[in-house]
Amino acid sequence: MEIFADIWNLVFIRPMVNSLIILYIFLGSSFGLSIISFTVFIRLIMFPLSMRQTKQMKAMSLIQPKIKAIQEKYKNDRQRISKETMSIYKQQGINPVGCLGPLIIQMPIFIGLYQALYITLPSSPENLTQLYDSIYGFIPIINQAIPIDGNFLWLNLETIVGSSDLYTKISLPILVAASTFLMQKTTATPAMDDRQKSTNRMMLWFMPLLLGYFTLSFPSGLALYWLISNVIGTIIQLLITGKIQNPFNLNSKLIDEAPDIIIENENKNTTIQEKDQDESSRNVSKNNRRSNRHRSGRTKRKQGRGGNQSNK
Amino acid sequence: MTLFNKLLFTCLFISIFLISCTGNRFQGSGWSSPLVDNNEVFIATIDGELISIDLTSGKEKWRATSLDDQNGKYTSKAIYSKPFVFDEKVFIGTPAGRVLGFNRLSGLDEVSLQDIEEKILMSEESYGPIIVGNIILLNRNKIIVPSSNGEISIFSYNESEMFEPTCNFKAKDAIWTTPIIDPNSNQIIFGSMDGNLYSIDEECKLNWQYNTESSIVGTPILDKNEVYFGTLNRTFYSLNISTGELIWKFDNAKGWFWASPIMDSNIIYAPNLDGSIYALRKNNGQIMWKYDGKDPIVSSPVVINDFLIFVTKNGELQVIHKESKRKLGNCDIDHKIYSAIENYDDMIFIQVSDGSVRGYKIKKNGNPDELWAKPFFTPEDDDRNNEDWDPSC
Repeated sequence: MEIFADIWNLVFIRPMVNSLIILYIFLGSSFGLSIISFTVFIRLIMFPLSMRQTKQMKAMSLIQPKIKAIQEKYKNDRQRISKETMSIYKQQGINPVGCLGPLIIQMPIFIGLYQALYITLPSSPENLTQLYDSIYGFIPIINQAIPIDGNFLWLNLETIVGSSDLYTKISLPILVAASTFLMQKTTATPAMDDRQKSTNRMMLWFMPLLLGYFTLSFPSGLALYWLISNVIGTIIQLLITGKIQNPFNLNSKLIDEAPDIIIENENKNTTIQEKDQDESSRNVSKNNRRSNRHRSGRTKRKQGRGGNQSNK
Repeated sequence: MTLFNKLLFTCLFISIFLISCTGNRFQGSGWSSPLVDNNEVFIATIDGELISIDLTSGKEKWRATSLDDQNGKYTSKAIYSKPFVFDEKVFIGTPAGRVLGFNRLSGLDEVSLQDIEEKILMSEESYGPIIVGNIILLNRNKIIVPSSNGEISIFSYNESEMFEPTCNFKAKDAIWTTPIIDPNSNQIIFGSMDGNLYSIDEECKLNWQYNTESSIVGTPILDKNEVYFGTLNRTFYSLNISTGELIWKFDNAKGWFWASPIMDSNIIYAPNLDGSIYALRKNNGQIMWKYDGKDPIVSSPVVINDFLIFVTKNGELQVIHKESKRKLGNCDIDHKIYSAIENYDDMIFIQVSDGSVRGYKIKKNGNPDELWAKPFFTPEDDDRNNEDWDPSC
């Protein structure tokens, strides 16, 4: 097990801790700015993964009616359900773990950053010796920067939120909860049935409250990271989904790359993609329309293949 | 999966995630070293208690509990400062920035420094205001209290057995070192996390300061007209205490100088977090040899007869011959150790972060022989009390 811990430290913790300290040095000894800039940097690096995850989640939600229809149709044959479901995934070019993949890749980075913050801002004097194990001691300026000054705006970043002054104790949990709510709201995929809708609604409120409560037990530095991460995540999500204007046409890119979803009804075949196109055409520019026209050709071809398959 | 199960699963996942990420990092383990005085061992513990133990038998004589929990205002916490004995009382500096005195025979609370409490107490969770360095006596009627809010305060002991504030000096950052006093000039010398070594007089006026540009954690040592100390910038210094001018510096270490050095026969033994003990010539700072203990050393070593004795951070007690550098004995305590070793005759006493104090007799061949191991957990039904406390070596 020790070797895994060593690899973990080498690959994630040490680079993160040292980056945070170097940013701290170059940002005028402000650890708050160091956390903010590092969180922005990490979020930008993971942007392609976030985009891919959004795309996969969207695609998954679009084929849900079809999956449900299969489950209804073959409710006594589990094997058949699984076979048909897999066949739909294959047909639509969806990887069932595709939504989880980016999440799984992101998780170690977030956990690593979380741990790096703990190490860099030790909560007790002896924990400062842990920092020694994580720094690149051969860089003199890093040794000189220690201990890190945890004061930022009205916050002391190493102090537990629950033990801080009343203003911090109230403001930080509320900010974390509100930003988590926004993040949840922007990432939630549309529910197809009432049960899912009710679950989504419950999670939308439950998660922010839970995280707001947990914030009271953590140092302000972590709460700041959580808050900034949520804010950036929300902005990225809004850019991807086209709810705010963006200079990179991320929304059209998302639509271009989304798999074509074919929903098979009893009497006719329709593509969700067509509906999607209708919706997106309201928002996207002329360039986007050109790209959609190009893709609609692909849709038609696939529609044909889908039709053939269903006839077999 | 029902809605309830989903919520339960989410709750469980977040809890496991947060716990696995944070562990018990909020719990400090302290590094108060035991004090041996008149056949008694006084130990200020991880749980925020002061215990008196009979040196020979290891039996507990009395225990002052919850030092920082009076009126339900404070939570008990690990203690960093070493106890000190004065006027038949045992004093302790607490993590909440208070100094408390107890009758050394009964353990009853006798003296409390309210002034210090008001001045230093700022917060409970941050390690800002706690007393980390040891409190020391000055001229038999004053005490010097270093604090991690950067203040050095001097108090005088009056006839009504209360301490009165005399003066204080504020450094730019926390003070974790124990102040040292030059007996000839009565100047008080201490290091700060702001990178300065300060010299002040009895009235808290600055004599000189020397900037190393790196934090000073280990307490300096004095010899005649020179002061010796290490920094986190992997450099060890010698300064003239009259002028504060640099005499020599040694900068070939690979890690932080964290623990306090010791001196014996014109040799300075400086422990380092790179796992080595550096033996430096006192007069010019040249390295004579270094011994690789193979694990960071965060506590100060001791010399007994021909033996250099130290403990590593991960709990290995090592005895080496100071001439031949041969390892003569060791003992695997197998728990983290941050506190300095207390030396009394040919015995040593160590506080271990598992919540125990261990006593060892160093035999003539250098082998450590465990006298006793004393867990000091409360309450009595604490599971740790049932652990096997057989000698570790």
